[in-house]
Amino acid sequence: MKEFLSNTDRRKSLSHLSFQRSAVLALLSLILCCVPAAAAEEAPAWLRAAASEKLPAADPKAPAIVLLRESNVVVEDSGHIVTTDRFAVKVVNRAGASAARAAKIYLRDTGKVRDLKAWVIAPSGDARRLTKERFLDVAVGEDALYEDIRARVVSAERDCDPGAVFGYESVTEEKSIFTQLDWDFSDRLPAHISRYSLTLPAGWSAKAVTMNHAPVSPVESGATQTWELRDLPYFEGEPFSPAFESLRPRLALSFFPAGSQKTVLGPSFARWEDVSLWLSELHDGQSLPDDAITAKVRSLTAGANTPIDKIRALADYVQAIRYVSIQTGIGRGGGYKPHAASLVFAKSYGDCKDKANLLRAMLKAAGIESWPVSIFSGDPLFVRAEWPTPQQVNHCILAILAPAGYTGDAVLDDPKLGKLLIFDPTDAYTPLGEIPLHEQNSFALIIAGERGGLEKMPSGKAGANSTMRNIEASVAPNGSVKGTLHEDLTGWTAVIQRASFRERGEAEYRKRVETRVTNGIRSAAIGNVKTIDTPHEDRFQVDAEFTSAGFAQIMQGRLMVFRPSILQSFDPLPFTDTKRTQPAILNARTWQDTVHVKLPEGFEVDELPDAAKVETAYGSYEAKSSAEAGLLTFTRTLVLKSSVVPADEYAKLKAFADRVSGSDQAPVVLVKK
Amino acid sequence: MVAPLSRSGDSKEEHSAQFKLDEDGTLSGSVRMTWTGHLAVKRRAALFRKSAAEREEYIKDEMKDQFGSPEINDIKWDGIDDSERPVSVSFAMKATGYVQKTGKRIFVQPAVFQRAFAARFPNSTRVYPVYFQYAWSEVDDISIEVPAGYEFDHPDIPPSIKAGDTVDWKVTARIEGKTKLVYERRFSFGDDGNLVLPVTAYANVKKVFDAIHEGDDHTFALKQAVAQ
Repeated sequence: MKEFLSNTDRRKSLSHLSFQRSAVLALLSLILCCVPAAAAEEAPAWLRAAASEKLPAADPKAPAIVLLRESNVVVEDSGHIVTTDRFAVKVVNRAGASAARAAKIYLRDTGKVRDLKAWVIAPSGDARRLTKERFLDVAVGEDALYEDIRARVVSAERDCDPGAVFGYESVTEEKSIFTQLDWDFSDRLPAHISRYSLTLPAGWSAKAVTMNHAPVSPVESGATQTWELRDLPYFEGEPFSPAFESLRPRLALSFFPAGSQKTVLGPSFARWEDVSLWLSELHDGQSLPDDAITAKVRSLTAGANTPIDKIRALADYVQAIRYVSIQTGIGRGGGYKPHAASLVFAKSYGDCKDKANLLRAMLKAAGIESWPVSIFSGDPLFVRAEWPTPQQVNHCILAILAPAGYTGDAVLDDPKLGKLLIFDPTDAYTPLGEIPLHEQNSFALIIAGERGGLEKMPSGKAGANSTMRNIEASVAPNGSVKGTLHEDLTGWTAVIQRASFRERGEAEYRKRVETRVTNGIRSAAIGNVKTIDTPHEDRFQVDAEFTSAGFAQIMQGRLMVFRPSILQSFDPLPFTDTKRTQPAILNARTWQDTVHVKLPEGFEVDELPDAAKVETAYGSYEAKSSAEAGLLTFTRTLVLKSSVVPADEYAKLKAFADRVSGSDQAPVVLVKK
Repeated sequence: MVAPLSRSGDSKEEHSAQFKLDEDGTLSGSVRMTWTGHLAVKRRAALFRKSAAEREEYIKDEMKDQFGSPEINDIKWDGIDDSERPVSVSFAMKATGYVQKTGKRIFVQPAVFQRAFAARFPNSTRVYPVYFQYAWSEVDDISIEVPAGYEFDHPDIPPSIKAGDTVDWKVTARIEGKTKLVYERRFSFGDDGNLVLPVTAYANVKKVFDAIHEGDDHTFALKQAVAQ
């Protein structure tokens, strides 16, 4: 899905300390450690100055501290962009040595790394420059079969003991099609000085937007503007938090040539409609159905009686086409233009925009209108409305004009285009009528010319993402149990199980069910595991039988104790830390357990768990139990609302999680008659 | 020539703790954990490159897995940088919500350091032999002072488990002065050198470790005392 990355995203993904390509870099470390270490040469003055900066106290967990993160960008009259980066990092402990590396990305057809030099200053103060043998030029590919992206890399991980300083300086050149740039002020490490400078030709203007931070005003000096932040904190991952990329301070820039000046640069985007117009030009001509497509559409929809049945038949077909990404001409916009639908149909493979475009062509042949949608696949909070650009997205899905009367969680009411059914043909497990979880509630661009624009994608309702479990069990006087489990899942909870089942295979999936049951019932053995996958009904069901000899604890032959929920508690709300620095993302979801237990002969109920009922802004929890005529009935329901809980509300969220967890553990006590 | 195997006593994990249990379910007290032999090497390898702050985080994270979000203070590591000595750590811990509660009873698991462990062998079938890298043993000496106004309700202990000379697990427990539970757990594995167990033995291996899991999950019930 990553082939839709913009040039800037490509660059960003390997810049400085991004660890996304850590596997490549780890390999480089192995290769490079065999090469002679370094040439004796004094470190440059800027690096010495950075290394001698007096630092404020940093988070003791930080493995390294960025001393300087600086980028000086010069846009030339011709539209060429020359960037000089300087970077210095101090290694605090051995884990932090992995920060001592550089990777400068370039596009083979439109860019190059003019220069890259790196140094290490040992804790003793001795400095050395890394020799040219230490540098490699490598192809960079993540998901794609082929890409034009390359990187000049160097690693000093093996050269840096705690206390060492690593630094590099690079000069890169590119001929971007964009008049937009963005800059991340920090990575996960604390940053002492982070500085970005932009120099434009005379008469050009720039507009800057600061994200995830109060607006930063530039200091102007001639044609150069400089934005600077200092002493940025260490980011440590927390459960359920937004992706780090959505939290760190970012600077987004759009610049505009003077008057009608011609450059090699592409269009400027002042509005999202402008982005829609530009992308429509790239997409629209590619989605024309040819005779072969039209014939296939006729064949696929022959048995479809309603418009939604037709859409489903075509969606299923395209969803099953193999995902293959081949990226060429990225520097000239190749990452944004799908291959012709006829070609993708003939070859029966393509990337996300190819698949969306093919489905669009097929729908067109069926007389159904649709539009491509550019979205960021990863974190719904990443795309920001205040920066109109194609560079914030990395994925392409489709908005289909919904048939009259069709409703559902994947329908978006667009003021200009009407009711749109959002569908991701690249996701093999999410059926029509559902949106992948990581795309829900995200800003996305509907590519529909002047009628297009940025829209918030729909998010699922708690009831539509449900895990319903029914357990029928019988406990014997010796504490053993036997019973049946029925799980009925809908929405993205069904998608997760469907993906697990299809990717792992039946035998492995059975083991996972077994582990899940065993985690709740000691010494359990399970059998007769059956799954029923009905994606068109948005359901995934699991049935199993279980037995356990050691389920209940018997005390001196008189008391019998067991948890009435039988299975393990609901997926825990992982809020055990006493404090938190980042917001928590809750996805809408419902869990419900209904348990019937036939009680053992000769025992009667002495104590049942107290009923629990909790209502909060984040969700609700209710549990109750009753016993009558030798049958125990226990029900519990946890409902989470879709929300982003600010860090300063964490205590309330934790109190809710603690209450749920505490209630889940309460046992039933039986006493011998 | 075959290199000699170490004995279970050579690689020992010891837990020594004195706890006080409050009526609200909070368990607090002092803890000392010690590792020798191969177990010490493993801990040392994980810790020797870590800073003091990271070593504190390491044990806090480990306790978090078992106790939710316990308060851990006064952490003192020893032996990480000296391969001639056992690795040990001592700390003060306070864990809320440790017990299971009903209206009139509290249920407490005395195998504090085996709490929340998943079954070692959850699956009923296996394709490859089970390979334990070395013999090892575990020693737990735990005392728990129960809250005032509560008394033990039908206390008992799980039966001992012995599988030849391969596995030996047993616990003893006594109640001192009606309010203090003294719990001792002893486990050893592999003293017969039987460290690679074939697939055909898997059902028995699972059965034994399931039984130990059950024994470790055993709870003591405390009931509000009837006024005399």
